[in-house]
Amino acid sequence: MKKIIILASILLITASSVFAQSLANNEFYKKSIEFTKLSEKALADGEYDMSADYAIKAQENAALSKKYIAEMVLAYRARTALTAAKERMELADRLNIKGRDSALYADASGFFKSANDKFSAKDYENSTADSLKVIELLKDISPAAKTNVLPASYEVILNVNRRDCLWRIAEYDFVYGDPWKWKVLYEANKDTMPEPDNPSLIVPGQILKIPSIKGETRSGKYQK
Amino acid sequence: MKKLLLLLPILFLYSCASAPEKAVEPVVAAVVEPAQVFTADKEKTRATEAMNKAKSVKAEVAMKDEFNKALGIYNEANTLVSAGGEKVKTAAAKYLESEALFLAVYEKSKIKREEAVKQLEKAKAAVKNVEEDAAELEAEMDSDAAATGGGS
Repeated sequence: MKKIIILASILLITASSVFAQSLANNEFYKKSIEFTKLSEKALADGEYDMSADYAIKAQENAALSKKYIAEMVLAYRARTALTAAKERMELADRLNIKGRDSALYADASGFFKSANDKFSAKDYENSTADSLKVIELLKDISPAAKTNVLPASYEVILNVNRRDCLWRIAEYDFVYGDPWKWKVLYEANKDTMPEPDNPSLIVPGQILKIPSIKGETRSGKYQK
Repeated sequence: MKKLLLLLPILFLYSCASAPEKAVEPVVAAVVEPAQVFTADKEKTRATEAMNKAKSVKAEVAMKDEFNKALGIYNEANTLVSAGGEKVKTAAAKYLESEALFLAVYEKSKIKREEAVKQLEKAKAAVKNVEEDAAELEAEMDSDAAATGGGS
């Protein structure tokens, strides 16, 4: 996935340098202007056949310029859609969508790769369509979620008013918000518990791992 | 009185001498008409006007060969006029021949010019159309870029 994103970035940078130029500032447009001037001069000189020939060449180049501009616009729109799709994919990675909904992530990745491949092949219209599918598939991923990273571990403390136990720890909002999930904590940590067969025995200073169970992003230790 | 008497015989003599003897037949002088001189002036004028008309559409450039052919006949006519005599009649015919050629060259050159002007106008319109399209699309892209906070 990272390779695809890097490839997409390189392509987008290349495309950006192309778009930095004015649309009309292309070879065909310049030739159409040049031939128009030659046609005008030939007309003034009485070289009517030559003037008509130059004018026809000017028209041909203007048509090529128009086609070129249309393609640049398609490329621009494809690039814009691909950028948006890339951002969604990066967000999906940060939010661990792959772990939370592997089928959705696989679909989105497939379309994103296809969008990149088609962009490289200058199939801009279909690239845009695939990018839009990525965006549509990942539209419900909330960017806000990325800032709501939950802790991946918890240090048992000695609290005289509310003694820590797996039941109470599982009840914390930043853990599972559900005391009945204590077994998840137990299974994830029993190897490091003082008595692996005794889920009731935990000691202050013990670090408990908090596994992700709904694809939620977890990182670091809980800080009170 | 003596003087008067002396004048009488003189007056008498004079009156006898001036008396007409008989009626004189009037003499009619023969009028000699000048010889008719043939010129090709009118034909030359027509040919010259046709040549100038052809030049007005730059036929000497647009249809160089045909124009030069007409001009050659015109110059030939000029030479014949200089020779004078019966050759002037030939010159007149040559002038008329060159006139026809000049007019034909004029018409053809005019058509060529009209075609060139038409094609040039189409070329200018095509170039303008490209510029308008480009400006419109650039504005659209700028608008998109501004909306997304990016740039193109």
